[in-house]
Amino acid sequence: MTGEPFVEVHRLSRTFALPALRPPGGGRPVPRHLQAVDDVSFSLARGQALGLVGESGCGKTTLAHILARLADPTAGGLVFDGRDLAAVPAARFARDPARRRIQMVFQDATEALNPRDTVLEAIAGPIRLLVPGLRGREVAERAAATAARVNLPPELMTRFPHQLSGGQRARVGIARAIGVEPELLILDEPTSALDVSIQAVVLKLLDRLRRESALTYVFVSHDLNVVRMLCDRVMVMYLGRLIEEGPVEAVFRNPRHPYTAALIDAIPRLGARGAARERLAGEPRSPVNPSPTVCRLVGRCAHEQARCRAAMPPLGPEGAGHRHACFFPLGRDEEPC
Amino acid sequence: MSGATLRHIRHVVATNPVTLAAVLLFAAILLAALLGARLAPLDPLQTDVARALRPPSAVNWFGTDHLGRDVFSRTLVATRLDLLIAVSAVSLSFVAGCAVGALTGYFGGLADRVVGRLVDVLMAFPLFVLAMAMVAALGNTVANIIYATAIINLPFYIRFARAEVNLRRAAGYVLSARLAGASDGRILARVLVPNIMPVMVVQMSLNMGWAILNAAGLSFIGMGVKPPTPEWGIMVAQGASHVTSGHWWVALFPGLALVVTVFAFNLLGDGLRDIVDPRRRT
Ligand SMILES: Nc1ncnc2c1ncn2[C@@H]1O[C@H](COP(=O)(O)OP(=O)(O)O)[C@@H](O)[C@H]1O
Ligand SMILES: [Mg+2]
Repeated sequence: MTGEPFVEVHRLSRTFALPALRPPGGGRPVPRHLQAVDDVSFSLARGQALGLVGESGCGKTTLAHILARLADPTAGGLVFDGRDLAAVPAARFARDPARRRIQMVFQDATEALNPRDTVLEAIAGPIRLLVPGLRGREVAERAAATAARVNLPPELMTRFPHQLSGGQRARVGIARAIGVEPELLILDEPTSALDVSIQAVVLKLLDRLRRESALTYVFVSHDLNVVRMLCDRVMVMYLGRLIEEGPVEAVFRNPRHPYTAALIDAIPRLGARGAARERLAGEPRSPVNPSPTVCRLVGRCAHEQARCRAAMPPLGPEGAGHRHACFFPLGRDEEPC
Repeated sequence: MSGATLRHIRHVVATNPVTLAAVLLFAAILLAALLGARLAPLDPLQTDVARALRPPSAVNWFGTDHLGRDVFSRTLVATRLDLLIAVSAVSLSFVAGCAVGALTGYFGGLADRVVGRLVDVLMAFPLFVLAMAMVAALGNTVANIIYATAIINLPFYIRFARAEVNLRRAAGYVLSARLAGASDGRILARVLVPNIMPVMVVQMSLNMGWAILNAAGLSFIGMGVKPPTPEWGIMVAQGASHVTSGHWWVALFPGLALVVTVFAFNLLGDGLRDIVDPRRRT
C-alpha cells in the first residue's frame, strides 16, 4: 500500500438495542444490546478488492451498510478519499456528493428491486438522480449502455422484476450500482441467491467490471474460494469482531487465527490434508451483551488458555500487512497448501 | 396510459369473468350517473296524485310513488347524486388518509403516536352517529353530507396506509432507492405510495359501497338529502311505509339500485387489485 488509503475505517462499532430482560430470579430488567459490529479498523487502497468473510450473523451486512453509508455506526470513523463520512448521517447521505462514488450491490436482488419499476427504470433511476446534467435521452442511453455492460439483452428493458430470472435480476442490481460509475463498490454476497451455474457467470462479470473500471471492491461472501479468486486482501469476522486480515494468499496459506484456519479447513476439496485440520467445538457465543474481556472464540477453540478468558486479544501486529487477533496464533508457514 | 397497460387491463378483464361483470355493471352505473336525467322517460319531479301508487306497467316500469311520480325515472336520476356523494367523500378521505398515513407510517415518532391516538378515539365513536351529529350541527347540505362521510371514513385510510407503509419502509427496494440518491420525499411519493396503491385501491372500492350506504342511510333517517330530490335513501324511506299496504315497488327498486351499486363496487375492488398489481402482469 502506498500513500493515503482510499478508505479508512477506524474503530467502527454498531450495536442494536434490544428490549430489556428481567432476570429469571427477579430484580431489575437488564438492558441488552446486540453487538453486530465491534471495534473494526482497516484501510483499503484504491483499486483493491477486499474480501469480507465470516459465518452468517457475524455482522457482514451491517458493516457493508455502514460502509455504503446506508446505516450509521454507533461509534467510530469512516474516511473516504480523505473526507470524514461518519460525520454525515445516513439519512442525509442520499444528497451527498459522495453518494454517487460509493455504491452497493445487495444480497438479494429480488428484494432490492422495486416491483413496479421496469428494468430500464431500475437502471436509469440512480443515473437520473446521481449524475448531474444529463437530459432524459442521455439518461436512457446511459442506462442502455450499462445494461449492455452487464450483458442484459435490450429486449428485457421493458420487463418487470418478476418477469426476470434470478441471474437477470442480479445483473439489474449490478447495473443499478455501476451505472453511476462509482469508485467504491460494496457487494453483499452478490451471488448467494443464485443457482450455482449462474454464480460463476456473475462472478466473472464482476471480475471483468472491476478490471475495466479500476473499481475498489469490498466483496462480502461466505464462500472463501470466491474471495480467493476475486480479491487481493481478505478480512475475517467473527461475532462482530475483525479477527484476521491480510493479503489473500498469506491468509489462506498461513492462517494465524484458529477460527480462520477452521474456516479454510472446512472448504471441501480433493485430497483432504488429514491430521492438521482445525476444528471448532460447539456453537458461537451470543452476540448479546458480549464480554469485552473475553475472546469471542472461547468455548469453541482448541488452543484456549486462561489468558483468552481474561482479555480480548487485539488485532495486530500494529502496521503489519497480515494481522490477527489471537494470543496463541497458529504458525503454519511450513505446511504446503 | 400506455398500450401495454391497456393490454394488461384487457387481459385481466378477459381472464376473469367476474371482473368483466363488475366492469360492465360499473359502466352501466356510470352511464346512468352521467346521462340519467336525459335517459329518464318521465320527469322525476312531476307529481300526479291521480296516478299515485300504480304498480309497474309499460309506462311506469317501476310503478309510481304516493305522489304519482315515476319510480324508474327517479331511481335513474338519483344515481348521479348518490354516486357524487360517495365518490367525493371517499376521494377526500382516500387522499387525506393516504397522505397522513404514509407520512406517519414512514417517519414514525411523536406525530405518529398522536395521529394514532386520534384515529383510535375517532374509531371508538359509533361512526354513523358521528356523521348524523355532524350533519345535524352543520346543516344537511350535500357538501356537509360529503364532509361527514369523508371524516368518518378517514380513520380507516389513515390506519391502512400507515400499516402498509410501515410494513415496507425497511424493504430492500427502499434501501436501494436511498442508495440511488432518493430523498425521503421521493421514496414516499415515488416508491412507497405507488407500492401501497394496489391494496389501497381495493380498500377504496370496498369502502365506496359502504359510503353509498352511509349517505343513503343519512337520507333514510332524514338527516341527509332533502325531498323532493330523487335520492335512493329517501326513496326507500318513503316507500317503506307503503310496503305493508302491498305497494312494494316504491321501496324495492331504489333499494335494488343501492344493492347493485354496492355489489358492483365490491366486485370491482378485486378486479382493480389485479389491474394495479404489476406482479399480475404477464
Ligand atoms: N435491525 C436490526 N436489529 C437488531 N439486530 C440486528 C439488526 N440487523 C442485524 N441484526 C443482528 O446483527 C447481527 C449481524 O447481522 P448481519 O450484519 O446481517 O450479519 P451477516 O450479514 O454477517 O449475516 C445478527 O446477529 C443480526 O441478528
Ligand atoms: Mg448478510
